[in-house]
Formats: sequence, C-alpha cells, structure tokens
Amino acid sequence: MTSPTPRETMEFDVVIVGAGPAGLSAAIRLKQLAAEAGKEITVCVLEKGSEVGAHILSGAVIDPISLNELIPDWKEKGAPIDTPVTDDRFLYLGPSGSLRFPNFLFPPLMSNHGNYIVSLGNVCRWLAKQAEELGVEVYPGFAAAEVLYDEKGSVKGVATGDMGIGRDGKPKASFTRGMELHGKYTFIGEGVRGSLAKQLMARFKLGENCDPQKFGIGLKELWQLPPEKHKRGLVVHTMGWPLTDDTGGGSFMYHFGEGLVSIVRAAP
Amino acid sequence: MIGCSAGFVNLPRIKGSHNAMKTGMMAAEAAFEALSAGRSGDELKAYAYLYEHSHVYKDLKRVRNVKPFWSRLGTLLGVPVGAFDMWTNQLFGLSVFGTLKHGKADYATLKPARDCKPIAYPKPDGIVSFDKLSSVFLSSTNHEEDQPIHLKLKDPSIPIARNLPEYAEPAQRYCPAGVYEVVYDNSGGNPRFVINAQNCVHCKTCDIKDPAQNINWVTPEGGGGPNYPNM
Repeated sequence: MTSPTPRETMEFDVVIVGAGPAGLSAAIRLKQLAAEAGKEITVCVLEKGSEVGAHILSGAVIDPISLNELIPDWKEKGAPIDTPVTDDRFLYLGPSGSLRFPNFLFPPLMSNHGNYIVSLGNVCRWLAKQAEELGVEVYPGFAAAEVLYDEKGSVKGVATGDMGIGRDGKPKASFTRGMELHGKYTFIGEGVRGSLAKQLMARFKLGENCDPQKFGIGLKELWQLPPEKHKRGLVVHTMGWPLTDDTGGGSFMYHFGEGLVSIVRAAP
Repeated sequence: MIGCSAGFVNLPRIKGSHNAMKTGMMAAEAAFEALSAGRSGDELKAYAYLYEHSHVYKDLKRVRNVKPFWSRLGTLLGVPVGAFDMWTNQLFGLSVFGTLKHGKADYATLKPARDCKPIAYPKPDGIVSFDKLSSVFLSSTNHEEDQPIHLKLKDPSIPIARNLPEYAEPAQRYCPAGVYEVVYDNSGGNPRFVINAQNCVHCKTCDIKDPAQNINWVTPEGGGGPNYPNM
C-alpha cells in the first residue's frame, strides 16, 4: 500500500515495538541508566493492542529474578504481584483419575518456591505506568507494520500502519497516513512469531546455522471460584489426558488473587 | 530482538517473563553504552555478550534437551528422561546427551489426512466446555471490519487445491478462533476457503503451522485484536 503522501517522522534514541515485559523492561532500564548518568535519552514503545496488556495472555507464574534487579522496591511501588506460590503439585491424568508425582522427583530448577501467580496483563499495565513516570512515551493502539532501513541497509526504525483503508484496499474518509518512528536503535519485542521479527530473520538470515524454532499453543480461561473452593497460592500442573502420548503438552491451574483461577491447556 | 521475539521461553518451567524482562534490560544496557559512545544503527554485539553471561543463558542451557526428548519419546518416556537430564544439568552442569537437536520446523510435521483418524470430540456442555465462537466472544476481540484482510495468502489457490486434499485444510482445526472455514455450496461441492479475519486473536498459529507456509500474518489496523482485561 503506497500512498503519495509522505509520512510524518518522529526521532527517538530507541524505538521499541511491543509493550510486553521485554519492551517495557528495556524502556525502563534505558531511562534508569540515562538518569544515573545524568543524560537525556528518548524512548518510545509502540503497542498494537488497544491498551497495554490487551493482547497479553499468559499463565502466569513468574520468577521475580529480573524484576528484583529492575525495580527492587516493586512491592512498595504497588506492583500487582501479591500471590506467592504456596503449594506446587504435579499430576498425571487419565480419563477417570489422576496420579500425583512426588515433588522430590523434579530437579530444584522446576520448583515454584519463591515465584508469584499473577495476571501478566496487569503486571504489564503496571510496568507501563512505571515507564511513563520515567518519561517513556508509550503508544497503545499503534501497530508497527513496516521495518524502515537506511541507505546502508541498517534498521532505522519502524512505520505504523495507515489507518482507514477499506477492505478493497482503497482509502476511506477516515484515512490517516502512518507515522515513521526513527531510532538510533530499534528493539523488536513483538512476542512469539512477530510479523516484523519474521521479516528481519529472513533479511538478516538470523535463522542460519540454527535449529528450527518450535512453538506451542495454549488456551486460557479465567474462573471465579466460591471462596470455599479457592486455595490461594496453589499451583497444579498436569500431563496426560486428554492428550495422546505423542501430543506433548498438558494443563495447569493457578489459584490467585481474590477467588481467581487461571486454567490453561497447552500443547508445545 | 528481545523476549519471545527471539524465543527466550523456558519450556519445562513454562516461564518466559523473567527472561523477556532480562533480555530487554540487557539490550537496554548495550544500547545505552553505544549511545553514550555516539554510535547508532550498528550491531549491538554487547547484547550477545551480556546474554551469554546472564542468568537467562544459564536458565535455558539447563533445559535445552527437554523439548527434543518430548518430541522424540512422547510424554510417558520423554518426561522422565527430560527430568533426568535436568537433574544432571542442575547438579553437575552437564548433560550425558550433549545438546540434542530439534527436528523439523512445525509446519513440516503434519501427517497427511489419509493417515489420521478424526478425533471425536464431545460436544461442549456449556458448563465446563464451550464452543469456539462463544470463547472468542469472551476475549472481546474486535477489528474494524472494513479493512484489508490481515491474513495474506501468498497463493490464494493453495488452501483448496493443495491443503484440502492432502491435509483436509488444517487451518479449520488449528485456528482457536474459527477464523478459517471451508464452505461448500448446497450440493456439497465447490469448496471455498473463507477467512473471518475479524475473529483473529493474534496467536499466529496459522503463520507458523500452515504446511505450505502460505499464510502471512500482518498487522491489522492498530487497536484491533483481543481486549483481555485480566489475562
């Protein structure tokens, strides 16, 4: 879709695509480093969802190791991370029952002790607030649709898509040209199989001499339970039924917050 | 590339947020150092160096063989062997198996439909199981309807001409949101491939799994897609 109208350009030190945990942590870290060094640095984050967190879907039990480094006083700053894992169970399911594996069979790296059950969408909303307080410009509702290259072939930023194009490919009355966001460096944090990442991997042959990337799909439901059935902090993982032995995958149930349970079935 | 863009998830721990955050932070550190030196637009080699000396690298190295084991051995055997391998990695920092390779890319692993039996799924009961479209409704997915379809077919003939006879067009089944349908006319003939792009929840499964690698997911108009409140 080329239009004769030139696009407006905004210049930044760093342009970040995707307001997820990676993009927002990068933005926050850049601003922290600049503040420590007494320098000014401009950072913008583009997010294709209508708001930060709108497209995030995750379990999630998170390991706070990186957050402790990034924002050590996250508790005082009101991070929505308030359900420590208290009980960790692993079940093998059959069609009519389950078998619990003793926890000592699993290496310590698999333990969820010290981890937290969260809504990752809400964690991202909070991270975006921290980033904005440091002066990061976060733009939800704008999809990075195109990678821009300079004359040497280096990435010089991204362009947002044009808005208001009809199904037939013709501009409608609401047509608005996309914007160019130029950065001295551009970070791609689009999440799994990003559409720009895919182009960059092909163009710069990033997959060469690597094994193929493997993917999985998960389906999540969020249930509200009556208080007597809710066991805040309980984490249950299962394998087996209803998947066949040659279909990898399993499910999990995380009890967190006020009566909430995250239920996910996933097949990598 | 940071976070899941570069595949920094730890599969057996089913965790990636900590690695997403840390890789973002390391990219930031590398970029800040470069900007401070007056550089721009070059390769951030320091990012790769920081990664190789980070807890992300350690986190992923210990579990590198788990997915290859599951793929090769199935669940019942693959899980205990994978657990054994994680034990030796955690205790001794090594694997007796070295580093196993992943097999084929996901799009190349489908079996032809003639070699498979259709799975008989119980009908959704409306109590604990639900049909696809009522679940898509709960995701508050919305796209401006009058916009170009953001699921681009490189060759529009492939779904019906190649994928349908060989794989019973798998997009109808792997898409969790019912975006893809094969519809027939009243006599049950003349199959057509229909793309309900406004239902798309942006999972990219079609882009990954289409056996002909014929579906290209591009960004729809900004703001479109799911609207998860607390996910």
